[in-house]
Amino acid sequence: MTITLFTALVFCGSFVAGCLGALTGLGGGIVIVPLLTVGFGVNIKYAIGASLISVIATSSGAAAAFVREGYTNIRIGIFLETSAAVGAVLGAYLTTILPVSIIALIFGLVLLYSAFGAMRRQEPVSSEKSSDPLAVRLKMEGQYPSREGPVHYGVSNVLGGWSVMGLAGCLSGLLGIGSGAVKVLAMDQIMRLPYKVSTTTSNFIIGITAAASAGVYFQEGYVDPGLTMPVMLGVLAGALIGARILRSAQSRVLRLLFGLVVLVLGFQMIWKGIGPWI
Amino acid sequence: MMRRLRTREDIHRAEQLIGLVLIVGVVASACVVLVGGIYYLVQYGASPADYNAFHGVPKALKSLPRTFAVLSSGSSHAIIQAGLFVLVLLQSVRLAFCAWMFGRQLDWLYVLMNFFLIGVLLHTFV
Repeated sequence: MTITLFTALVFCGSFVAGCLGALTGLGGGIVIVPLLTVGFGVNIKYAIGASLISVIATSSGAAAAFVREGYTNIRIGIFLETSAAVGAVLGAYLTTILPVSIIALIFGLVLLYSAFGAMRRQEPVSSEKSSDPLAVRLKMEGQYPSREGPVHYGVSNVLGGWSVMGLAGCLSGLLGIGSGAVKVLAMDQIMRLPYKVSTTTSNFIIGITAAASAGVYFQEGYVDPGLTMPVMLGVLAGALIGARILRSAQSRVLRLLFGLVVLVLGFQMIWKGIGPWI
Repeated sequence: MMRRLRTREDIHRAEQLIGLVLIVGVVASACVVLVGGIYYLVQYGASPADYNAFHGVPKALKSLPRTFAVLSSGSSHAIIQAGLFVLVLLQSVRLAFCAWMFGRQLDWLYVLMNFFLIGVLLHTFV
């Protein structure tokens, strides 16, 4: 295959991945690694490097749109990012130590857990009364726009969300993904934030988490310009389209779509982990 | 002296500025990558694509100062890589804007968190 054809095909695949990533709050990276390694026979180290950069592009592109609409809670995002960024640096260094099969297995299990959680839970029951005292002190409560005017929401279990966010950051650094699934899990299910606030705030910080481990990836030579170029441009274009669809989509449909994508990826990751041993 | 942000509208306006910074930064980065990409395809488009084995990228493309040093030679790889570095550095820039926004709300704890994050990002980068 010539470089021109390869670039065109990778661009198209990345476009679809970027659209899915923005719609679900997963970030495109999680779809990019299987696409490049299984679909195009790319070495996993190059795939991870391109994926990490695409994650930064997705987050920045979609976050720009969401921030302007007023869904994103920047306070919560920045607070949670303090643990995610440290986790990401640790994760990036851990990549060189841990065997990939074990990482894949752990991550697959985390994905399955979040998929079942997302599909089982009913519509969010966030209320003004249920705020954690720490959330009140950190002025985290907010409101998001709706057809009936601004809707106020409270924030629960701040430290629980913060701890899970460290794990999300570590997984991001380990696998070159955004860990959107775990980030949404922390905000949506542990901190009981409205779903759209969770996905948009997750999108806002995914790029910062990924940038925290990017330095290590660059130094290790994982970021190849020829491969990363179509991935980054494709994912970015897809993310902008995905952000437009999210504006009109229902939370329930989004949740189901999110759950299904995570479920499939979970089985895929587990297979990747235990496959070589069977 | 900077005006203090008091109302929700003030804060929302500041948040929109952060959105604008992100859009401008991403578009700038994407344009550089696109220009480098087209040049790259003109130069190497007919060669076979081979990413099966991992060799790592050349040393000149692994760090920001070296990449910018190679830029003057007109290497398409260096142009793309420079665009990617812009995208990564944009994350520190947006954190700086967030710090500025919290500063205008006299919210020093959040300003501190932003500076901490900028430190973590740049630490792995240089």
